[in-house]
Amino acid sequence: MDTLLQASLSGLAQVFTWPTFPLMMLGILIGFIIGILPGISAPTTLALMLPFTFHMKPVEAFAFLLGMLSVSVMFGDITSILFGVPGEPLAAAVVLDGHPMAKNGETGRALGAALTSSLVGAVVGAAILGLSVPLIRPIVLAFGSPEFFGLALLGIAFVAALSGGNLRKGILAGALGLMLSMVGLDQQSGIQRYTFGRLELWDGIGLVPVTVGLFGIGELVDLWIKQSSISETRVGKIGSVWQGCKDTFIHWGLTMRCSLFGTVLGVIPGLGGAVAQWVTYAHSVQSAKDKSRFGHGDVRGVLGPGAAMNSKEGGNLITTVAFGVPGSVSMAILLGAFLIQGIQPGPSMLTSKLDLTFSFVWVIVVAHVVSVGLSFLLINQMVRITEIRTSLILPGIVMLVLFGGFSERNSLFDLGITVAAGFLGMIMVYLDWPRPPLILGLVLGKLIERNLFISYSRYEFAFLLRPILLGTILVGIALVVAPILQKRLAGRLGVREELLVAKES
Amino acid sequence: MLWQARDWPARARLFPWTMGWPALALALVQLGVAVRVLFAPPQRVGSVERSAGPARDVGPADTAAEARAAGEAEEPEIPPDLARRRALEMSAWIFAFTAGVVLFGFKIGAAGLALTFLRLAARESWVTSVAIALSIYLFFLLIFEVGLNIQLPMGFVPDTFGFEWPDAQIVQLLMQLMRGG
Repeated sequence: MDTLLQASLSGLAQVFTWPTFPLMMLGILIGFIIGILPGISAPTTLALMLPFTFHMKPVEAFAFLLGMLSVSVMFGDITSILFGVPGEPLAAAVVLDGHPMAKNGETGRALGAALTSSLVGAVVGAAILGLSVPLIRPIVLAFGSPEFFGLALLGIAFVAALSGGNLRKGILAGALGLMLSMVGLDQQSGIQRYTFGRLELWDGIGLVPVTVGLFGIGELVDLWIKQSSISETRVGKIGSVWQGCKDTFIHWGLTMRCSLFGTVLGVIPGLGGAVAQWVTYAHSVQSAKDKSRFGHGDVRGVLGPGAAMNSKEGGNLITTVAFGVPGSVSMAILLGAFLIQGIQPGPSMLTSKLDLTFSFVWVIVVAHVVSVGLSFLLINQMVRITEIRTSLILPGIVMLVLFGGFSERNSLFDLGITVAAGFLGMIMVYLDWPRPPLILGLVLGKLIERNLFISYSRYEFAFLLRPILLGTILVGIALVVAPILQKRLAGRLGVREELLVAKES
Repeated sequence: MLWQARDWPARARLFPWTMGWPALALALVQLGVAVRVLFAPPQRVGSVERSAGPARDVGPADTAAEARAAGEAEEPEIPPDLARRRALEMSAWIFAFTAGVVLFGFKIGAAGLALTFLRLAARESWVTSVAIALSIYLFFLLIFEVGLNIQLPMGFVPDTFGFEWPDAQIVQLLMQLMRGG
């Protein structure tokens, strides 16, 4: 215990030394730029910054890189709220309620909620990182391809919660997403599936062009139709920022649960943040008694994904640091930083280099505290952006959307996918079809198929009897069936009440 | 998609067919429901009040009119014809921006189309239009090419006709100066 405390304090002290702290601040500034710009992703920027760490000491290098990585999603929420265009792919779920809040003149509240829940999530994720690294080994080792298959199926079950009350349309949108995920070279047999002879489609359809197009282009058209400003009401005093902060604590249970979900999902390698954000958004919807405002500007739709996406980094780091198993693309690149510094992830990070491990924890916490503090100073200016005349900012937002779609694979073909996804999104909204299940299907399709084949190849049908898989299937069934039963029960109770009232009168 | 998969080996076909056939059946059910609603006798539930903009994705099913009553800001009614015209207009501009970027690259294409949009569609002044177009140009130039050293595509037109945009030389000079060369 003493060793842990000593290492923790040593790690904290190292963060506030020269040049570690200024390097972390530089990382935060870069994280701000990549977060708010849809065109630049965190993994790409991380890779570009790696060479600069050659001459740094380990704690300096990781303060710089983690400072950048850990705040980029939080800043991505800002673009999602202000413009309805996800600044980072992992900030897409925040668009659903954050941007409507901005349109309703509650920009300050949405930003306050996003920033505060991000801070809480980051602290929870970092705390779990600090406390659990010695304990997590058996849990991570228990997960194989059958368990990943089960988790991906569980993700599909969340389609029910994301379907906006029309389960049939939600399932069909999810099925469309699954079909889109099959485009490209089949990993099992090498057959070209639905590529129509285009080389660009061999790698499949990118998630970023579809996400940015599906949500961003509809917003552009909507802005032009209304021709006022993003905020349809005059933004009054910015005091609502503090309301957003308070909302984090009013809905404390939701914030903490989503922080824990985010950390747990971050621990599992390969599951990805894209799954976590939609799962936690769906949980926010499902767990609410009054769901009527979701999609219209319900602050809980910002709190859940906001907390989860920032706690996820702590979870990702657990497996990366303890086992050298990267949980995401960003972590894989961060492993490169370990190699550059001559550090071997694994047991030494829990023994001789425990203070370095704790410095990671403190960098995540301090970076978020500093970022949130600085963001609150800039919130006024950010909120005023929503009052600028639409015509002045539209060209900029159009370019952000198009560059966002282009930049995932530096492919002009992806521009076409972005635009096509955009018009599909508009049609879906016009016909009242939910869009999130499509994204969920696109994300989960490859995961499901790959793990299904690996599981079958290894275990044949015996993989279906593994306990964790069975547990996740049962939870998935419950998630789909529960809302239907709830609705029927509410209907029957309503009818009974009407009969009683009729009898009395 | 199901038809195309019929000639594939079983492994490649399994997942598309496992997902596709039930989805097709469900889609036919949905089509049936939609056709039935279309030919049902008209009811005044406000469901025809549909804005051309984004409705919502989640939450209990209700009409767009009820959604507005659920606390959204009061906004002036936009006639459906005008809304439709503006939607088509913006869609055309999005295609134009995309074509501009593909043909002329991000820097020149984006800046040029921004200038054209601001002057023709938004009817902004020359000063405002040029300032915003220039900002977009400088954004791509300074952040990506100079700052991150990411070479953006030049565009189909320069690549096909074998010329460089005049600003390429200026950029190279700037980068040499920055590196002290």
